[in-house]
Parts: sequence; structure tokens; C-alpha cells
Amino acid sequence: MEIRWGKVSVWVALVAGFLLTLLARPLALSTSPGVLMGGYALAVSLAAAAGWLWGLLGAGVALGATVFLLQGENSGISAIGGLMYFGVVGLVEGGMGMWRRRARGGSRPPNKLDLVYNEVLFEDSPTIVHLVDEEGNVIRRNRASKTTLGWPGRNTLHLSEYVHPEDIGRFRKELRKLFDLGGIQGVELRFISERQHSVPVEIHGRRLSPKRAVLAALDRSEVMELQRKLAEEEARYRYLIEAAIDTMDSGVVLIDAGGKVIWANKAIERFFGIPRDSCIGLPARKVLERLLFRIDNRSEFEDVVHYAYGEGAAVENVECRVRSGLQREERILQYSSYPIENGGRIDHYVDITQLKRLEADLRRKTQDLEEMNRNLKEYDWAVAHDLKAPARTIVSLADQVLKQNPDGILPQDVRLNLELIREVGENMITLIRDLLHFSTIKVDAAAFEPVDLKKVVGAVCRELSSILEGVEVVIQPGLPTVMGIETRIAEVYRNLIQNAVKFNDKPTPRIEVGYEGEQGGLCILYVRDNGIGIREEFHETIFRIFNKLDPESEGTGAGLAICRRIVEEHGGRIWVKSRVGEGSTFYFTLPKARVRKVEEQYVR
Amino acid sequence: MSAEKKLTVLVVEDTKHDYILIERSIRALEEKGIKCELHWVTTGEDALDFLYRRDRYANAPRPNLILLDLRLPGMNGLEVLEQIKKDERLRKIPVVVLTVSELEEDMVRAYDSGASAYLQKPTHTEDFEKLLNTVWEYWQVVRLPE
Repeated sequence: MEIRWGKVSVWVALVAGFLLTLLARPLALSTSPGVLMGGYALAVSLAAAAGWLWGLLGAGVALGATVFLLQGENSGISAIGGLMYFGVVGLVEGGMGMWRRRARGGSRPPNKLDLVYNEVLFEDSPTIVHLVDEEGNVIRRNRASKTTLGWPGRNTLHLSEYVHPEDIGRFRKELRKLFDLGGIQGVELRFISERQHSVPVEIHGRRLSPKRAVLAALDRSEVMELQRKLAEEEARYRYLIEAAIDTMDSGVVLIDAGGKVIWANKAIERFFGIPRDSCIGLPARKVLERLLFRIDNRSEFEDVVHYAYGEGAAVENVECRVRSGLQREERILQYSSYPIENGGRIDHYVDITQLKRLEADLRRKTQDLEEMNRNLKEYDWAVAHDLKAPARTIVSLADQVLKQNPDGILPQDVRLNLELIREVGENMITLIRDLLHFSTIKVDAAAFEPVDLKKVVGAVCRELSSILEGVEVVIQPGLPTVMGIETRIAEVYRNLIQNAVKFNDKPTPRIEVGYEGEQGGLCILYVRDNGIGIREEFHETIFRIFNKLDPESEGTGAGLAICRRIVEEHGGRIWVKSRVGEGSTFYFTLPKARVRKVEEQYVR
Repeated sequence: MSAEKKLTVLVVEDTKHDYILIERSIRALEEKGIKCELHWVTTGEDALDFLYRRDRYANAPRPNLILLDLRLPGMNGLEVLEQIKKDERLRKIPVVVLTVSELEEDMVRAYDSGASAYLQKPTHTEDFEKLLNTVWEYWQVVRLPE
């Protein structure tokens, strides 16, 4: 603490003035009131110089008046001395006041406002404020101290009561520093509350006197809590991000603005067999050098990456093939590199090995399919031309011989044989035709149109009217509209109706065409007859090509196979329910027409 | 058809039996006083040699009708057709495709390549004869550039 020279000088001046006034006569220094007044004026001037203007002015007037009344004599001189005194005091005080104001920047001596400030600052401060002695024991404490630390009823606290036991040593050391040097700043330690809760604080201290100091302690618990939460959040965030990137199937390398690798994920280790710790901190180009050793298409890849690093450009989807190595399989990676906002960049390596493999598989399979399609085309050609031509020639020749040699010229058995040759040849041509038809049935779903089955069945029945003579044909109402190719669907009905008539031994053959409802977007349709029926073991095989059950019947047996092919090409299926002697019902399904289309059709 | 005009037919056919029927049909035509000239080759390569008058066909006449089978040894009929229609000098000769094939695809390709007609060979002799007579009649009526 600084010594207030002003105060000291005031006291010295006052005491000196009084001594001079009182002792002047007994000591016979001088009896002149002027001398007395001069001495007194000197003392008061000194006091005034120290700043106690108004107090001394009052004192001066009172003393001046006393001296004047006491002396009686030489009153004029006394009055002049008193006036001189006022003048001198006024001048000196005015000058000193100006000098002081300049020196102190206009500070004011304490007043009521300062007391309020003190009250507010001290008592109401949210900061704990302790007035302590040199031992660290609290002599006075504010409200914040009471609310934070407890002991509300007490104004004093012992050191051991409010400093955390583990921090007492350190606190003492800081206290010594405070009294030695005059102040301490930002010391972090822990107080302890009445309830033994630890309170982290930051202490600022100021020495008031060799035995007194003020300590302001900021409660840091909230800050600490925030810091703890922040650290926790950050840890979680890092964990999330790093773990997420680490478990990714893509390799990621982060490069800072200076071109150094700041992070690489686990996939990089897996892809290249290089420990990532050995990469972090190295220049990205150096790391790249190491990766390149393991890349097959090194030169082409190197150019691209150097270009990207050099130009700060983005590079996308460059393929690089990584050779297999120790515990490392061969891979095909797709490299991309993007510059990011802060001047760094991110390199990605996406593993596309599996994709490439699948791609190759697919390509091979497509080739196989194309090859097969070519073969099928050739097969169609062979059937249409190479198989058919000789069969036709045989029939044609037999036919020619028969026609050129009318009855009687050829021996009867030769004639019979020639007729047989012609018949067999004709059958063969029919077979070839059916086979070809079967193998070339291709229904293009894109060409599907709404097909009104009422119309189709009606048309087929008219077309087959010659074979339907004497047959009872029942077309159930409610035949729906389906999606498909009309001519193909007509073919299905034509085949089924022909079969129903052909394989019928009843005096009145009966055929029923109907609709049984819908299932999974497919219409269930049927053609029922009262014919000979089909034994159950043939219910599957009849749909195979050229699987003719009755050798005596006409046709090749391709009809049902063609039906199945057409129905399946429409996405449906065909099956039969039958009892021998009672008849058969052929069921098949076709895709249901969408409502909108149907309406359109009706409008048309 | 004017009297001095002659029907010069090139038959590209490897089935001898069919050729015999064609020949017989042409003879019948000649008997009726119609001038006909019939040439027969059995492969696509020979057909082109004939048309370009190469080697042994150096003196071959230019036909004004070609009957072309699609199924031929070696080069097939469609390829011969494409070659003919690609050549500016040959393209005007009408080509009638005569085949056993019922393949829609063959027919489409034949017309796409510029065939004048696509005929399917009937199995029975009489039908075949009838078909040939129709062809002769038609191509006698049709006007062709010289």
C-alpha cells in the first residue's frame, strides 16, 4: 500500500500551526500577531497543498477570528494578515487543484456514490470476495461466498474450512506470493463448500496491507462443466466420424492445405498394405509414391494424380489396379480426388473389384446368350430351309409319279407305297411347320394391347364353324378384357376348341368357354369339354412339344405346347383338370387389362 | 409383250427336281410360241459370276428375270439378292424369290433387300406348275427397261 503523503502533511501542518500559535508567546519568540498569523498561514498552506481545502479554510477562519478577538491590539494588521491568509490559501489551492486533476485524470475523493459502489461490488458481486489475513483465514466475506460455499451465518472462515484439502499447500504458496508481490492473477484451484462439494475457482488477489488482502474467486464449476461437455461431445464426434470412416469400404485420405496427409482410414491399410500411421504427417506426394509401388497401371495413374495435386483440380473415377501382396488381395479401385474449401483435398479409393467381376460375368453371359440366339436363328433357318426342302421334294416327286401314271399303269402295291410316302412326307412338312412356329413364338410385352375376349372367342367360333357343327358351344357371360397380343390369344382358343371337338366321343359334344375370376392381376380363363378326358399322369406331359397321346388323331401334338408357350410369354400359366370319360377343363391365365385402357377401348 | 422381246430367265436353284419342273414349264411356254431363254446355276457364287460375265460365263446374256432360291450351298440367296440390288447395273433386274421357307423374317428381309416377289414353293406338282405359269404370265405383261 502506498503512503498518503497528503494526509501526513495535513497533520504535520495542523500540529505545527497550533504549536506555533500556542507556544509563540510563552517561548517569547515573537509577540507580534502578524508573525503568529504568518506562522499559522504557513502551516495551513502546507495542509492546503495536500488537498484539505475546505476543512482548513473553516479552521483558518475560526483561528483567524480567535486571534483577532484575543489580541485586540493591532487589529488592523491582524485583519490584513487574515485576508492575506485567505488569498494565499485560495491561490495555492486553485493551482494545486488543477495540477492534481491533471495528474489523477479527474478522480474524485470518496463520497456516498463510492460507498454504494463498494456495497454493490462487494456485497452483491456474483464473484466470491474474501478479505483475508496473512494466514489465509477469512475476515469478511460477501453474499456470493455465502451462497456458493455455505456457512451463511458466519462472516469469518478458517482456511481449512473453505480451501480444498488437496489444494491447501498450493493456496498457501500463492498467498505468500500475494503478500510478497502485492497481487496474484488467475490462479486456478478448488474451494470446498460447507457440504464438502468441491468448487473450482479462479482467484485474483490484491494486498491491502501487510496483513490484509482481498481475494476475488470466480466460480468455475459452470465453465468446467461446459468444458467437460464440450470435450465429451468432441470425443463422441471424433469417434463417430473416425469410426464411421474407418469402417467404410472406401479408402479415404485427408490432405491439408500444405499438401500433407493429416488422416487416412483403415481401408487404405487394407487396400495397399501400408500402415496409416506411417503416412500421417508426410507430404501427400510422398505417400502417393509408396502407393504407386503397388499399382499395376502406375504411369497412367501417376499422371492423373500429379495433375490433380498440381492444379488443385478434381479428378473422378480413375481406375487403378492394386497388385496382390502379403495378406492383401488384388483389387480394382476407383480413385477420385476433390479439393476442399480449406485448401486441402480428399482422396477416395472405392473398391470396385466385385463390381468389375460381376461386370465381366455379365458380359460373358450376354455373349453366351447372343451366341445362343445366333444358334437359335441358325436352327430356325435350318428347320425352315434345310429340313423342309428335302421333305417337300419327296412329297413332290411321289405326287408327280402318281399323277403322271394313272390307275392301272403302276402295280397296285407300288401305288400304295407311293401314296404312303407322300402322306408321311406331308406329315413331316406339317411337323416342321409346327416346330418352326413353336420356336419362333415371341411375344413382345411392349406391344401388348387390351384384348376383348368376348370378341376373340366369337371370332374363333365363327372361324371354326365347320367343325363346330352339331357341337353345343356355351360362351359364359363376363369374359374380361386382358392385355396381350390378340392374334396369339386367338390361337390359344383355336387350339383348345379344336382339341375339345377332336377328342370327344359324346353324341352331343359340349364346349364351355368362361372366366373364373382374377388372381394377382391375372384373369383365370377356361375351356371345358365333355370329351374323353385325360389320364392324370399325362396332365403335365401333354403340354410338351410333339407329345401326342393318340397316334390315330390328326395333327402333330404341337398345339398344346404352342398354347403353353403363348400363355407363358404373356406371363401366365396353363394347366388342365380332367376325369377320364367325363371331360377336361383347360385353365389358363392372362394379364388383366388396366381399367383406363378398357375405358379407352370402349370409347373407341 | 412384243414379238421380238424374249424372256431371259436365270434360275438360281440347287434342287434339281424343282429345276426340272421350271424347265418343263418354260418348254410348254415355248411351244405356245413365246421366246424364252433359260439359264440355270446352282450356287450363289455362280449366279454372280453369270451376272458379271466372269470366267466361263463370259458370254452370258443379261437376264430380264431372276428366280432365286434362298437355301443354296455356300453363299445363301439373301446374300446374292443383296449383292444384286447393291449393284447399279444389276439392280433393275427383277428378282423373284422362290423358297420353301415360311419364316416371316426371311420374307421381310427379302423385300427389304429389294425382291420383286416372295413365293413359297408349293408341295404338290400341280400347284407348283400353276404358280410358275402365273409368274410367266405376270412378267410377260410387266414392262422392263432394256
